[in-house]
Amino acid sequence: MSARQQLISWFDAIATDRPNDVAVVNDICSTTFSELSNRVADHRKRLRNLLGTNATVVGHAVSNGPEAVAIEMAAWAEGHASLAFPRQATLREYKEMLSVVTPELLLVDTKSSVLAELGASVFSVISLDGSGETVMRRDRRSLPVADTLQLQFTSGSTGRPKAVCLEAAAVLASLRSSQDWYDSFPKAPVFSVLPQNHAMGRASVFETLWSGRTVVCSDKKTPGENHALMRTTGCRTLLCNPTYARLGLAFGVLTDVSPIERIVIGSASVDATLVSQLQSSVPHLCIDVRYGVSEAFGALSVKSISHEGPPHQTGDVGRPLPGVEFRAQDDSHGPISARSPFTAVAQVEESGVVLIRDPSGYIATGDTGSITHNGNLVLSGRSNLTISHRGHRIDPIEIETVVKETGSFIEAIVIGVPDTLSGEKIAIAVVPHEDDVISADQIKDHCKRQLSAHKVPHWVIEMPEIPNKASGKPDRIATRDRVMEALGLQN
Amino acid sequence: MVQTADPAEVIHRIVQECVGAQDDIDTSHPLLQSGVVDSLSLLQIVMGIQSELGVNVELEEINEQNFRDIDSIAALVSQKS
Repeated sequence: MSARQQLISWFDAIATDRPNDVAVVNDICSTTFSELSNRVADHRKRLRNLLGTNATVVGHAVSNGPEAVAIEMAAWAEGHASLAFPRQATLREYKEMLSVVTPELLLVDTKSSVLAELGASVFSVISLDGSGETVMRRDRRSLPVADTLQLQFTSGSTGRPKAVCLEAAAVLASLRSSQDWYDSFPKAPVFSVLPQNHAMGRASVFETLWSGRTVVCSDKKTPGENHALMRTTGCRTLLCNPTYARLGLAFGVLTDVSPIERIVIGSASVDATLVSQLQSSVPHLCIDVRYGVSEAFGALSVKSISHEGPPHQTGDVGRPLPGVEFRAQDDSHGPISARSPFTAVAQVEESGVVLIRDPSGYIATGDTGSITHNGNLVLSGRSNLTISHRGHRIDPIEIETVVKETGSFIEAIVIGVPDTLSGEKIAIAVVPHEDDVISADQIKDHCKRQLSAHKVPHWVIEMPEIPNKASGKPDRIATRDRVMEALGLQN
Repeated sequence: MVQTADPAEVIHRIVQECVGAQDDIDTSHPLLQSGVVDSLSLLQIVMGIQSELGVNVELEEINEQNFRDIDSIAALVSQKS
């Protein structure tokens, strides 16, 4: 039986075993395992009628929850690859993503979505609320890499998106590996605030379902609704990023009377202060840190933090899961590579399909750090330019490109300024052309039109010049120092 | 006679400051839906209301209806004052 078939059979066995148990819940509906199976069957019929047996890419831009899960599972069962688009992206961002991978078919909540209108001229779009007509195009597109199950958009270090090709065997291996960890805590519903178009958020939903648990997803930014949904669905585990954990403490979502017994923070480094605050404010809380990358399905390492053990060290993401190997250079801040059955072999870039594993099978994680004597990976930063803001990894080149398009600047350099709540805040240092007058708000407004909200700079700092390295390239570290000085912040 | 600031004006200013906007935000502009306010700025707004107006906003009240726009926040604060 192929890896793809094994994945489907595994889920079918769970659904047969507990048809009336709740499988997926979101802010508007709840679906049992039996109902989810029926939704998958309906989507499979639709895909078979429209696409036949030719393996291709099926995209979707629907809310976190049952529909997104059913579409992905139907695509997998019919031999296709699924691709989730972020629903809040701008027209420019959609165009960039479509220049890398164009699905043959796209399913959207409603015809009015920007992506539906943009895509209708280049691929087929189905609106699930029935508001649009389906016109199938005749130019067939095959999978970029054979037996790809999922495509995952990721920001690169070039200012352009890339789509990682996760094969069925990698997804199956990761789901199997994750089950030991899931078996270590009670079979109560799991609440996820990680977006389903993000690598870890997407994997977490399937891991939870494949463990036979209910997964509750939310798109809401307001903690009042999240807290109410956690209570009504009986969630005892929360999957979130470090920023949400901090907000959970500040808003009172995580308290000593909270129903949440376990918090799972992924997929980034977690600082010691946050862990200490969680431990003192919510003494009964179990804290797990999961580390993953966009180039792999699910987690590569897990660390369970106990009250009794030694204090948590900032950046410690634990030991690699069985089958995963980390490789660090001698330098404690050197690049970290990972080798695992869960990692992708290739990704699609503008230029085409590119292999991402080196001859030994390792991929570059993009993180720097070291491995301790007991085998724990301790992250120290990023080996590329990526900024970490509110759980998003943001490519500064993309923002710089957008700002330079205004034609008002000789140079524009985006940097991350350390911030306790969000990880890093985005600042842009600009050198205007002589006599060119453009206000900080005008720059921000331009960014808001072109980029998702989380990429819009918080600060715009005008400088007479950007410091350069000996090579003549912009010195980003020196620029960050000058920006922080201008903002009156300590470095 | 000491004049106290209009709570609606204070809320308008708090929102402006928390989202880092220099241009005036219309009081009926959809804050959450448009992405002007994210969960971080929402926290700052709630803390600002508590410190400047002395109004404690309960967790259950921090929902999309009460924080839809500046007018909705002002209505919530007025109801609790």
